[in-house]
Amino acid sequence: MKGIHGTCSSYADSIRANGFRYSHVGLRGRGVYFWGYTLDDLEAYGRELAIAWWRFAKQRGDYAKATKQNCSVIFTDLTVESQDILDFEDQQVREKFVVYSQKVYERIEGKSQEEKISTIYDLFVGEVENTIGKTFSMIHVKVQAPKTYKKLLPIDLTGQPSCYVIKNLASIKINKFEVINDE
Amino acid sequence: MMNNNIILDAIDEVLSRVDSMSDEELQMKYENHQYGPVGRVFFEAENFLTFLVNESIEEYTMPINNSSIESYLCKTIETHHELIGQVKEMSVVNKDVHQLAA
Repeated sequence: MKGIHGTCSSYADSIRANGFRYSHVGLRGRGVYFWGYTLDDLEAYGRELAIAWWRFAKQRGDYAKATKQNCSVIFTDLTVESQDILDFEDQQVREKFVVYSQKVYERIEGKSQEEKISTIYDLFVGEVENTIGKTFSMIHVKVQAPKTYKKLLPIDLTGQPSCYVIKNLASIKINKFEVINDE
Repeated sequence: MMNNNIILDAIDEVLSRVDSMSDEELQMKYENHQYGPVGRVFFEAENFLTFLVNESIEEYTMPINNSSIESYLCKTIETHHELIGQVKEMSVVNKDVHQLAA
């Protein structure tokens, strides 16, 4: 599997020096987020999504303190065995997750909707892991493309993009960095 | 993908557990996840519990704060030059640690 990650160049420098860090922030729970695909032909698609994410994060002010705020795109190979993936796009898994969410969402109080959603994902994954007695290295989930995404094809053709949330950092092998200066 | 039936059966178990969980338990689970297991600590080793009862713990009390507790939870405890066990996190509230260490 392939994963592409968009960020600012300062953060990319840090990743180049120290590798990816496990993030405790993310709407689909904790982990490192990539735009995911399996066919090399879709690299341009993932790249554009990564740039769109950087645009979105920059507008949000995520890179306000970074010295180099221009876009960097990081291309990776993700080595994850199929049995180590929890696929939220499997219809039965998704439907059961919706039922889980129905059971917990209104019963918990959080600071924000985003915090609740993120934590519900983590709690669900953690509960399933405890029940099975193993941990997942990755979750696969479809997400909305950022509003800043310049579509290469209509969404009606591509469907919503795949997001890989990597929970086992050893799965990530960085192939190359690309600095984007014309954004 | 992992055998889907195993995952689906596991999810069914999870759903059953959520049904039997009180709102308070669920909220505590949420907060422990969100803010870390600061507070209550469960000492797994029976020997350590015995030690706590029979010995002064003042010199062995670990400095506990929000940032350090998770690293401590993963470490083996050494006292009297013997390894006596490991601490393990559980769902808890802050005052319990205070009471235990006081």
